Amino acid sequence: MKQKLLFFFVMISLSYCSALYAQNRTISGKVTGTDDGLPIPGVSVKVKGTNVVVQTKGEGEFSISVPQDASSLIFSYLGYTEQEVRITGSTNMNVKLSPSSRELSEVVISGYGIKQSKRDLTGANAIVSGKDIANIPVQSFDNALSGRAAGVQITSSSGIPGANVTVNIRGISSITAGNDPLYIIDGVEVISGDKSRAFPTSNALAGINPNDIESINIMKDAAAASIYGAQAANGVVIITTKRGKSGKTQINFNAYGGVSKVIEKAPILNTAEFITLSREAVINRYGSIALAPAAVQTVLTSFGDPLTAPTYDWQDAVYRSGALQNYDLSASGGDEKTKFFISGSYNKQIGQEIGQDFKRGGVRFNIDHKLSNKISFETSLNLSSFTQNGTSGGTAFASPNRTAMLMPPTNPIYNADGTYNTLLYGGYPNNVVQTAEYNITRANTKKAIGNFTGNYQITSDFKFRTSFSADFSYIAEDGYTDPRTPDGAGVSGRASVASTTFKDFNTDQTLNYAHTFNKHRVSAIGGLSYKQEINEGNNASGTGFPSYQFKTLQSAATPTVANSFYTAYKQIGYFVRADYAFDDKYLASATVRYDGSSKFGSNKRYGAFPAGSVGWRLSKEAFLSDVKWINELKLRASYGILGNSRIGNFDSRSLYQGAGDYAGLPGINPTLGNDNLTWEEAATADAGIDFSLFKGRISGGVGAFIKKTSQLLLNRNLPITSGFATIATNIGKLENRGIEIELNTTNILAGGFKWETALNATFLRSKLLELNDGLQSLDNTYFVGQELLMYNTSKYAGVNPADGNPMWYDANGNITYSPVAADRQFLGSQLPKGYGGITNTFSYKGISLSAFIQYQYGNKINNGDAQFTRRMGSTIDRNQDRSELRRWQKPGDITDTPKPYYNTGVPAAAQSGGVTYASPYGATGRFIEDGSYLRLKNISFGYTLPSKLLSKTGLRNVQIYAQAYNLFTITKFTGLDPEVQGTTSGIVPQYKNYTLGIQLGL
Amino acid sequence: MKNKIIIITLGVALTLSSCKDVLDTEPRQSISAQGALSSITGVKGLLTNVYDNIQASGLYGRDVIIQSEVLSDNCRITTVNSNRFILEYNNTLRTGHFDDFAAIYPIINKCNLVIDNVDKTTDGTPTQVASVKGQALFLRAWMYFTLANEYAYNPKHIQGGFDLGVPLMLEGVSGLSQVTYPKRAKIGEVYTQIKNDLDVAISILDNTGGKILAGKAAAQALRSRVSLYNEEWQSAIDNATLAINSNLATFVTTPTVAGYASIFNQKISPESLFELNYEVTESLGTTSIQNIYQRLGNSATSSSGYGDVVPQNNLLAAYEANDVRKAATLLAVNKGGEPVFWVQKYAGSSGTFSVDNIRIIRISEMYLNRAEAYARLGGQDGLAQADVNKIRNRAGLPSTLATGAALLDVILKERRIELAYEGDRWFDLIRRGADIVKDNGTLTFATDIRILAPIPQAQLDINNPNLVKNPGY
Repeated sequence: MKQKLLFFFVMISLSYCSALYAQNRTISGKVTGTDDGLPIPGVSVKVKGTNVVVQTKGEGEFSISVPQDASSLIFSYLGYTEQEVRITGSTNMNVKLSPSSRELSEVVISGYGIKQSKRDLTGANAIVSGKDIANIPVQSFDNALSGRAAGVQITSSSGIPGANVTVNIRGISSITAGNDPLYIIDGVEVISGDKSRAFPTSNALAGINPNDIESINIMKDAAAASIYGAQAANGVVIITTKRGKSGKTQINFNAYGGVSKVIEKAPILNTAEFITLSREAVINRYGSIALAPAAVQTVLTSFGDPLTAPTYDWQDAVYRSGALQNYDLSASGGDEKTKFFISGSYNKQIGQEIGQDFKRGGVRFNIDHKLSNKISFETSLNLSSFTQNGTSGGTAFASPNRTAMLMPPTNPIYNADGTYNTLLYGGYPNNVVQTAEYNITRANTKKAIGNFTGNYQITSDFKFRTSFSADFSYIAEDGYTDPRTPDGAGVSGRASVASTTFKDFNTDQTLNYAHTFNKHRVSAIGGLSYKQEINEGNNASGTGFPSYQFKTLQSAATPTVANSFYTAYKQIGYFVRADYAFDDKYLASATVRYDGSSKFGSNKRYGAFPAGSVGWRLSKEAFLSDVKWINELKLRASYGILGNSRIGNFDSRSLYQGAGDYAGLPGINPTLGNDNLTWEEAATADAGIDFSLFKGRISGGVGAFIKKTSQLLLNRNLPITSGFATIATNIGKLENRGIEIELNTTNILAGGFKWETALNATFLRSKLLELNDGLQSLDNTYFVGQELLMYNTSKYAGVNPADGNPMWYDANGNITYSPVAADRQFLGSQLPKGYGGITNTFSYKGISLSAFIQYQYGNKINNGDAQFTRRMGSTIDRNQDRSELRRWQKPGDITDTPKPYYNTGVPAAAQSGGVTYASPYGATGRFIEDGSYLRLKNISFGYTLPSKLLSKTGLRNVQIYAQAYNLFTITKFTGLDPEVQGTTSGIVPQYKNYTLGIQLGL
Repeated sequence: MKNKIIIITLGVALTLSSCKDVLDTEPRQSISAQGALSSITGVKGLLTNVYDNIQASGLYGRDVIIQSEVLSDNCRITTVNSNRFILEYNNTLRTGHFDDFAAIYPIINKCNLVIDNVDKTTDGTPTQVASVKGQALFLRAWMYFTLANEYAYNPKHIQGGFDLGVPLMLEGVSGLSQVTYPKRAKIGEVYTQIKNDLDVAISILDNTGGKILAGKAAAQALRSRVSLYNEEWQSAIDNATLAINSNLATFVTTPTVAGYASIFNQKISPESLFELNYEVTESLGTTSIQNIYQRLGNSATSSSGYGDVVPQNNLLAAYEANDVRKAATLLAVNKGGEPVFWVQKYAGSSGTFSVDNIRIIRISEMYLNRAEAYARLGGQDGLAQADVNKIRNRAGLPSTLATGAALLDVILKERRIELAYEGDRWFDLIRRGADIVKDNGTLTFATDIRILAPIPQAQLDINNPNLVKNPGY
């Protein structure tokens, strides 16, 4: 053993001083890329069959001493297809490498520093290159992933810049414990989701500059993710940021800017239509306006004459032309020993809705150093700060988009003297233009994410790796309700502050082994991982300000809230993983992780999560070796168990907690614990085929999976007489099954013209298998035997042409006016049956044009806004949707909009035969709509200046580009935006924007 | 070499795994259930939480009071409104009624935990233990009385033989194994428990806690009300007398608008025997009782507050001419073209909009309880007249000379006017088996199933075969 090692080291050392080999000859040359024709530094050049390796220098040049008997050189570089070039008599060799981003030879980083060639993968991974998401005008990379990977559904349901997004990998596998995947950025387990406390929506991942990202590996199945054990059930997303390469220092500058607009405004009535509808509703209710109560008559009179009364466009006032700008400056380079990537970025987006904006500044330092041949280390550090300004969100009266949609158009926005009109008639007391200007809703997040990794190459086979990571986040929020607004007037202004910190620390210690002998290739990793999170914060608020000019808490007359909290958890995991390949043909992998968490009940602290997978590279078999058009063909299958530990930190404990006070005394409140509370368990079976055909012109993969989640964390209802409504219990089962397709084709490749298509499609079905205590349904949303998140309500049957009254279907499919609970039926799930994305890229020389379409189908949306905007004059205190114009007016009218009646659904006088009519605008199937859509998400055009033009300028490359985002949408959904999951109620609609940018390389 | 590897591996593994307690994480803002109730301060903290829960807008902070007014013949909803309490005003089947079952039982459980544990504390003085225990008994009795009045027929006015009360939970639940599926006790048993709790509370409480903590006088006053509801006239008289004589409350005698208003425009009412205290920090904001009765500054154009709940015409008609209570507690307002009266009994008496103490028992009620009990006993009309005339004269009205049934009518009408808007009316009607004659229709006591609130469907849905629905639901 020792001798072998010695020999190995000698070989390596000798290869660096190859000049010593007098009998050898030297081959030199230059390596460039076929994509941009630029030199590639850092390419590894290896003499085949030996350990002689050199790397190309700053201008792509290399010089290698080769033995006389050497047959060929192998050129390899991350992201490019490996190339073998035969050694001829010439001592000069110029090589062009072509990018391999869509081929199976890609290197994949899958956590704990494990690097694998994509061809060796036996699990289900979706890999997205940083290039694919660069410069997309969104604030967080998770949002930019939308539509890019099979099995990954991203829903950005708010158009507030920096908003949180919903990420569902392979459907939703939990009902209550959360469906967010685990995010790992350069070895750091980072916090994700919305961690703000008062701000409408804030994405913790918005602190990462998407343009710093090199690649994203989404690990979907048990084989890929099981090394993360109890945290992996929702998938694991491994983000690798850019790192330096040895060679000449490269400076890159990138800037883009543009404008944004709201994707769609709500179609609402103008004043004339609004008055006409209101009058009609009152007349239908009382017989005539004169017979209506005096108060109602006064209101109608105040509206004025429909022919002359002006329309005040509140939506016009709350939406504006937003602006965005983004700047990145990075430098990367290094030498054999030290490599660096440093970058700074600034991003600013002024929202398309008043009062909303986003600003982020950040820097990144990624430094690698090789102390010796045995010891090396890598460090990553991301420092960033982002600030969001917002407005009251959702259905709050001060929510601009919501109130603008519902404000009676008869209300002027401004008084004659230019001041804000605050004497507003109707159900919405806030002048939202005023509140957006006067009130403050702000969140600032500061983040420091850092990692230190040390590597110690013990022997050629064994490596010890130690990694320490921290994610520190500080969120400061402040709010101010101005005393000049209705919400603030009663208390003479209200100010609040909140600060929240997350201190996450994780460390991994691993021992890696890799050995190749004969046809056997073995690698293994064993180690442990420890993590703790401390989350604490405080908040205070006060009321009673001397005037609106005083906005800080210090001026408040009365402190109303002072609060703080602390919560924490710890987890530890031990894991072993082994990969084996025989003859590069038969692949096998096995993982087991033993995980414990402080969140789990004392009886169920630890659990084991095993997984195994196999692969068979058919293309390596002799019987396919003659089939020239098959370059790669692999079958793979896996099975394993994953956990979901996303439960409350102290949910398992019976505790008393400070709660409530009375007469100046503090109170405490009991909670009911469960010693058996533990992780949810997802058993995943996966099978797939990966291929690359016709020299990579067609490549991709098709996979199928079944994921069964058991031990679902559900609240078992307790009889309230016990003093407790529910207890968290692990009980219940659900299932997701699906098919995932990824296909990349080069359709045309001729005369420098290239047309490529990248397509991903996912077909997904979910089913609830079991609930607690034999219950058949939960929250009227989950039903045993049905898809998850099911709408179960009365199906709307339209309007009776004879009398204009709304009708529904009863349990037997007959018409009824007053559906009861038994008449409810399943109208569809909030989850899509399928989704995906298609990108077409056309390039010719330096010009490229790319169009990205995202789609989903088969999901239902509850148009919650319509419950307020389609009331047929029942409440004449709010504006209505334009669909009210097709309301029933006379017998024989065929329509879906019932006859208007003021102050009720159908009044008693109009009811026949003692039938009580259900409210036409209640939450029924009338507002459950098809949420399928197809959206042209992104079009980008780029032009790279030819290098000839640049040679005199000293610039390495120049690219100018233009993009349009959320350009258009095809959908039947009649609400504001179909890109939501569930109910749309007061959401800030998405933006569309147009940007222009430039990229300079020095 | 191999040895080195083994040593490193073991070393690392051991450093992080050797201690078995590596995962132990203690919360800082909570303490374990075992420790919390071992000291008198812990038990007191739990008792404080009970008061805090009762303060909620969904209970005595607003809803119980407003629902009692709009379900009955006292109050209605204005034409322009915020959609609040419309179902209750319309007595809509199933959805428009009291819904306190799920809010009250956790409170009762906490009372039980206090009662179970307070005697076991080692650091509490006998005075502290008696005070905490007495308050918990009072609060438990009050909560059961609330449940009984909402979900069950008065024991003296059972309809259709339906004599079930509510489940009687008398032991605290602190672990999953103690959870049971109880059946509804007979209403008579519930009343017996309420009376026992109050009698014990009276025997161990004193009046040193003032009006905002339940004291001896509060327990006597509630005992008087329970006896009145249970038609135990002598007990109603005796306990009312004890409460009056406690001198905790002062009966305001000034027969003027300003005099009468002084009962309601101070943070702590001179008349209170028990009231729920609200600090400014505990403001219920838009869900406060003031917000539903009026808008900021009593201004119809203000956008703070709702001013939706106003007296029904039949209540307005019940005021006699020159009754100072009308001018003192009602303010004429034109709300969106509709002339209405806004109630001034909760007008921000703490000096801040939305913050009022909620008066639970006033001394005036004690005179009314006693007057009614004397009148019902028979042969004591003089004493009854004396008590009811205290109320009438203070309102600027002449003494009544009525006797017999006519006198009882006078007393009941005085009760309605005197306690109007304070949440007494619904309970006062149904405890007597009276029909509810409202501006918008009548609920016949004998036949209308809406007299009783429905047991929440969610509770029936939990496989609890023991929980019986109310008739007709």
